[in-house]
Amino acid sequence: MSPQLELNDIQGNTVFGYRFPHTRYLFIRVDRVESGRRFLRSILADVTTSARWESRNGSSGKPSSTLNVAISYAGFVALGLPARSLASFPCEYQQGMLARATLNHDTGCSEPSRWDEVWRTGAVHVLLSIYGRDVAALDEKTSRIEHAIAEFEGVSLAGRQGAGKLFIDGEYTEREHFGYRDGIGNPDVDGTGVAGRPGRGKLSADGSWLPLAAGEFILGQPDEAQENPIAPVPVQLARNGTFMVFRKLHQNVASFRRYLGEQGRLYAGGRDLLAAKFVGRWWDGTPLELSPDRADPALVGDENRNNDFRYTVDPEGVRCPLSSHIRRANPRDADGFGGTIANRHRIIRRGVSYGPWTPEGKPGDDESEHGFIFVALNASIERQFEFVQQQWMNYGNDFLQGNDRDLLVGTHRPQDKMVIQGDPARRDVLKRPFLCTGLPQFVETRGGDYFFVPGMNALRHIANGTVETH
Amino acid sequence: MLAADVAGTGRGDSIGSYRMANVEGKAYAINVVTPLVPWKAFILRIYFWVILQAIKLVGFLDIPRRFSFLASVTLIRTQLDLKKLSFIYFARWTLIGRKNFPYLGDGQPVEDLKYDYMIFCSNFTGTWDAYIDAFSQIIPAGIDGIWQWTVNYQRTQPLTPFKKHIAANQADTDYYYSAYPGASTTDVRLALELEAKFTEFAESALAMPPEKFDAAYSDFLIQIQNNLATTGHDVGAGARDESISPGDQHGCDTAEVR
Amino acid sequence: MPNVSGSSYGLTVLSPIRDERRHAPSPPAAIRAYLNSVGTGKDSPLARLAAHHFVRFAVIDDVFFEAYPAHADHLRSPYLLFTSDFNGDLDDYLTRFVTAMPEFVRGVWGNCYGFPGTESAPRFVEYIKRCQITTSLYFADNPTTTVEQVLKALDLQRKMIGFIARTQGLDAAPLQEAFRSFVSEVRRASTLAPGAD
Repeated sequence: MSPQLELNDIQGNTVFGYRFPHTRYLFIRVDRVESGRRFLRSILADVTTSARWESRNGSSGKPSSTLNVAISYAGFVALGLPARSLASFPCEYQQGMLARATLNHDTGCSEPSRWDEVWRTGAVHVLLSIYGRDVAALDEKTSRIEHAIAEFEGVSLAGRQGAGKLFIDGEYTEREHFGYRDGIGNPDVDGTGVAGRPGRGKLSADGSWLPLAAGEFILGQPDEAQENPIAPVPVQLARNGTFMVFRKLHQNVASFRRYLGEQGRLYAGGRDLLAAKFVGRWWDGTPLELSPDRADPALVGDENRNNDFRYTVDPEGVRCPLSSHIRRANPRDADGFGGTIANRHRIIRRGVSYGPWTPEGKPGDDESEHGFIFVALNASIERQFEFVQQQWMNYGNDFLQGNDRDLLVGTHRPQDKMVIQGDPARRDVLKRPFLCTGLPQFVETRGGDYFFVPGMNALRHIANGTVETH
Repeated sequence: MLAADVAGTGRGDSIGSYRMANVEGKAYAINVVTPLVPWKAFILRIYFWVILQAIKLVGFLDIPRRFSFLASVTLIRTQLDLKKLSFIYFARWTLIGRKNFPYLGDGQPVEDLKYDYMIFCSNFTGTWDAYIDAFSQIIPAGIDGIWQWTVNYQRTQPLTPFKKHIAANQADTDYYYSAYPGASTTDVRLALELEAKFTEFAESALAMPPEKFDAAYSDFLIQIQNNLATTGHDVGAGARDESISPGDQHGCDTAEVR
Repeated sequence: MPNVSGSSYGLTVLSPIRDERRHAPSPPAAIRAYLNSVGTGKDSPLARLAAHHFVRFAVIDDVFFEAYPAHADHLRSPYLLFTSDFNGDLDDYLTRFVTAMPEFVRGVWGNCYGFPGTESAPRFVEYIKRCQITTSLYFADNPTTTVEQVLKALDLQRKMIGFIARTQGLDAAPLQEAFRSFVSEVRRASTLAPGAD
C-alpha cells in the first residue's frame, strides 16, 4: 500500500507516533520578527517529518532524538505572518486556550489563575517538542537550540517542560499516574500506507473497520464530510499542517487512590473492577467490552484484538459503563448511526506523562509535580477536541447521563455522580447500579494552548517570511 | 455561531439594551426564513400534505421494511431518525403565500412580495453546530426533500456552504422561554420513562414481604439505571459554573467562577 | 389538522409591526428593548401559565436576499414572530394567556397594527387568530405530554437519584421502609415550578 499522504512534508509524531522514552518541550518567545524567522531557519534542518525511518547498513535508521515545531496564534503574529493569513485562522485558535478556559470547563481548580506562569501570560509563541532515546540525547538537542536562541536577540526561552514514559519496576511503560495503561486506540488515518488495525478507524456497513479520512487530521485532504476542512490561507500555509492542543494536566494521585480505595470497598465487584469501570479498560488496557470479568494480557497484547469492539452489543452499559472514559471519548457506534457522529469528533493523541511514578500501595500525594501532558492533533480544534471536552467529557446528555461528567477528567460539582450500571444477569448485589458520588477533582489543568503544526514547505515559508496572500 | 460559543452562552450578553436570546438553558430556538418561487411553494404544500397523510395512515413507528422507499419519500424515515437523534423537542414548518402575510388594516401597507416564504422554527437541545451537522450527516435526504424547493437552495452536503446558508437565513430570537430549561430532550424522555416505571413498581412493592421487595427493587433499578440523568441549567460554561470540589481532599481553594 | 400533534398545538403567529419610518422611537427597537427588560425562566411572565412548553418572540425586520439569480424582496412592515408549543385548545389558551399577563401582552404587541388592547380577552383571541399562520408540518417529541407531567417527572428523577445514593447498601427491611417514606414524599406536591432551573 503506497502512501498518498506526503509523509516527508507532514511533521512527525502526527499520523505515526514516536516511541521514545524521554520528552522535553521548550517554550520559545519571539519579540522581533526577523530574529524569530532566523531562529526558525537555523533549526529547520533538524525538524523531523513523518517519513518512515529506513534501516540502512545494519542500523535501524531511527535518530537518537527528534525535533518538531508548533506555533501559537500569538506566535504567528510575532513572526509577522500577513494579516489576511492571520485573520483566516479559525476563531478558537486565534483566541487561544486561555481565553476559552470557561468554555472548556477550565474553572475552579483548573482556572487560569492557577496555571503555570508561562501559560498564564501567553508567552509561548513557538513550542518545540524534543523526543530522545535518553536524557543525553535530549540535552544535546536542547543545548544546540539554546545556542541558536542565544545567537538572536529577540528570541528567548520562556520555559521548558520535561516529560517521559513512567519508569515502573525497572522498565519504561505506557502507564499514566493513576495506573492505567494509556495510548491504545489512536485513529487509523487513510493514506499513510500502513495497514489499519481493527477498532481504530470507522465502522463500515459490513462491520469491518476502515481508516478515517485524512482530512480529519491533516489540512488539505478530504475529511469525513467529504470536503476539505476549513483552513487558513494561502494553501501553502495550510497544506499538510494540523492543529495541536497542548494541555498540562496535573493529577491528584492521592485523591484518586483514596477515592478508589473507599469506593472499592463499597462496590461489590471490588477495587480493580471499579477502576476498570471508571475508564472502560482494566489497568493493563484490556477493554471491558471484550473481557468484562478480568484483565487478559494475551488479548491486550494483540494489536489486532485489543481495540476490536463495538458498543451496540452493550447498549445499557452493563459491561462498559455509558459514562466510562473511553466510551465518552469515542462512543463508536453507540450513536445509533453506525458511528457517523463519532467519526467527526476523533482526535490523535500524542501525550506523555510528567513527574515520577508513585509506587503501588503508597498513598501518594496531590501536591507534587506529576501528571500528564495531553497533546491532541486534529483538523478542527472546535469540532474535535473542544467538542469532546465540552459535550462528552463535561456533559453526559449523549450517554443518557444528563449533566454528569467524566469521572477522571471532568470538572466536578458537588452533585456530580457516576452510575456504574448493574448486570441483569446476576442475582447478587451486582445486579444493582452503583452510584459513585462525592467526586473529588482528580485532574486539574495547569496550562496549555492551541498551536498550529505547519507542514515542512509551510514552515520554510514562515521561516523566510515568504507567506503571501492575495 | 461556533459550537463552543453557543454551548457556552447561557443567554447571550445582556449588558446594554439589546441581546440575542437564541439560547435558554439547554434549549436553542432557531428560526430560518427562506423564499420560494410560488409554483414551487405549491409543490411543497402538496408534499407536506402527503407527509401528513402518511403519518396518519401508517403511524409513526410502524413501517414495514418493504415500504422503505415510501418511508423515505414521505419523510417517515427522517422522522424516525429525528426521534433517534433525540434533540428536537418541537419543530414546525410554516408556508406563507406572498399575498397571505397577515393584514390588519389600521394603516398597515399591503405587502407586495415576489416570493412565498417558509418559516422553520425548532426548539432543540445541543449546539447549533451539532444540530446542523446532524441535518447534513444523518438526514440529508429528508432536509433536502423539503428545502430543495427554496430559492438558491444550498444542499446539505457539502457541510460548510450549507452552514453558511443556514446562518445567512437565520432570524435570531429576541426572547425565549422554556418551561424546563434545565432539561434536554433526552432528560425529559428519561424522566417520563422513569415515572411510568416507578408508578408501576410502587403500586406492588410496598405490599410485598421485605425479601421479595429486595429482589423486586433490584429488577426495578435495572430497568431505570439509565434514567437517572442529573438535570439543571448549569451545564455550559457561560452559565454560572461553580466547580467546587471538596476542599480538604487536595488543598485546592474553591473558586467561584463568573 | 396540521397545527396539532397529539394534544400538542404548534401555534405560529406573525403580527405586523407599525412602520418605523412614521413613528419614533422605532417600534421594532421598542419591542426588543421591552423583551430585554422582561425576566426569563421562572421570573418570566410566561411562567404564570403552565400550559406552554416553549414560547419565542423574534422580530423579523425583513426577508433575506439570497443573491443572484434571486430577486431582492422586501417586507413593507416588520413582523413579530410568536410561536408557542402548548397542550389544549387554542381559544382557551389565548384567553388564559392575556388574562395571566396583560401588561406583558401590551408591552409586546402594543406597537402592532390592529392590536385591540387587553381589556377584552375575546378580542385579543380574535386578533391573534387573524395573525395566525397555519403550521404546515409539526413535529413533537412527546405529543401528548403536558408541562405539568414533565415537571413532575423531572422532580421525581432528581429525588430518585438522591434516594438510590442514600440507600445504597441497606438491608432488605430498612430499604423497604425507606422506600415507603420516599413514596409518600413523592406523592406530595412537586417542587419544580415552570421555567425554573
